[in-house]
Amino acid sequence: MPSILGSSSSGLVRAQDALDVVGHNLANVNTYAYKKVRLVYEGRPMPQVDPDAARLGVAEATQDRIFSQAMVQITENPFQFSIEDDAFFRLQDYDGTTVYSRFGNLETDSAGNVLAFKGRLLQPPITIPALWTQPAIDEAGVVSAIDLNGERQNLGQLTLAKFPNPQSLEALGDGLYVESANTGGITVGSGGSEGFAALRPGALEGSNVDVAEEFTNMIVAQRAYAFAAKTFSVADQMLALAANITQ
Amino acid sequence: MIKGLYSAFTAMEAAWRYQDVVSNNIANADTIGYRREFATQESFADVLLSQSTPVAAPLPIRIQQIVGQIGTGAFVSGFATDFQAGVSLPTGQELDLAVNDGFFQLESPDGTIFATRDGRFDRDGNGDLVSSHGYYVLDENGQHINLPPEAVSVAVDGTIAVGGNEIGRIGIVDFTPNQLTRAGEAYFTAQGPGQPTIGSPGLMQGFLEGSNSSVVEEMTSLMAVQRAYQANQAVLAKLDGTLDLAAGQLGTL
Repeated sequence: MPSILGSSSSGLVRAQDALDVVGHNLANVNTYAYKKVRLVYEGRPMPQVDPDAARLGVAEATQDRIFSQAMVQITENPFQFSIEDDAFFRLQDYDGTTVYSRFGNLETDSAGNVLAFKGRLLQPPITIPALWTQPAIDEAGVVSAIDLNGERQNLGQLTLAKFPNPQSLEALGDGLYVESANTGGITVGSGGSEGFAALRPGALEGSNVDVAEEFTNMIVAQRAYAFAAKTFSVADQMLALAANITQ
Repeated sequence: MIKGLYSAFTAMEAAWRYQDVVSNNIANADTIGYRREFATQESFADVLLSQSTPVAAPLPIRIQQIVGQIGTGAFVSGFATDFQAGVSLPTGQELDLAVNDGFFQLESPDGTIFATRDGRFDRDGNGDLVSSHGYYVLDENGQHINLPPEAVSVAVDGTIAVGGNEIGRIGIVDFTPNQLTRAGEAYFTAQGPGQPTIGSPGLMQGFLEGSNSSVVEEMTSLMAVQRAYQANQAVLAKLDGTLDLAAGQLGTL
């Protein structure tokens, strides 16, 4: 079969990938600390191929996570914070592995453990003693609460992490990330320590999805899909002629 | 009459090949750094097949040996790469680079050097500048480029600087089109050394260079070739009808 069917179907599949990415980004336009995904069509380097055998359409659609800073939304909740540079804070996934997040919404459970999104412990964990009230976090990431004598006591400090190559962090869902082979050496610090910006209490980071950009990508992908479909239909008509070659 | 049958057949074969190229151009209309292929046309005399071919391997040659000298009917003789620049797309990413003139040099793990205009680069785990496939981007001396964890700025001539201190320079070289062999959609392997670009390579940080394939132009070719295919099929069907008369009804007269 001629490779026109292969290359046009690759166009269909890749355009579908692009629409999936747009859909995912648009669904998260109001998700706190969501980082958008960018899809790029790319070729694949293949030395010494016969050019007639190499026309297989789009080779790869690579997805990059774009960690650009999003708009910060003021919440006035003292137990929430936003990270003002490209750092992440450290927490534990349910199985105890260290993971990283930027969604600075803290809660406590009945045992007084300070929890991040969906009940995950911080790394290292911080616990608020029973009956202490008004938990808060400050610019350095120090978690405090008011004790039984009415005095505010420090209970522990949130740790931050930075990577030379955050683009290669692996996304686990729930706004969590984990290192991959290409992330590079981790630098651990805290809010306001050397190389780290101070945290901003009482705020949450929004989503960095730009709706106008996503709609542009959607139109481009939709048109690419239509062109690939048209190519496919032309190939089909030509095959029909070939099948009835003497009619 | 039989010769005409083969002419029509060869043209239909050529149409399929042409469509493969055109559909690949359409599929890659959004591929970073893609360079389109176009049909090269030669004069009619050039596509006449030679009588004296000693080794008869490809089908057109075998046909030619049976039927004698004919026009092949092929309306394209081969395909060449169009090296015109694509549009620059702003992305705002630190390590997305586009050049106006020349090619980046990539080194694969097996040591093959590729020339490309796909500047979607990144750091690897050691801080080396790599392409999206993990191939090393080479500097002006053919060495790997190690980047510090801080943000870098890349100047129009490829100079990489961190906080005003120069730390290296991306190698950008130019080739004549006939030095380059296609090696994937946006990649080439080069015969012989490249030359430095004449004047500034015009490198832009935060941009990627798109494909140089224009869907409108390619769709037009697709339709035109489809019709050429259809016309040759009609000729073939008519010739078949004529042969049917000759073979089936001539004897009954």
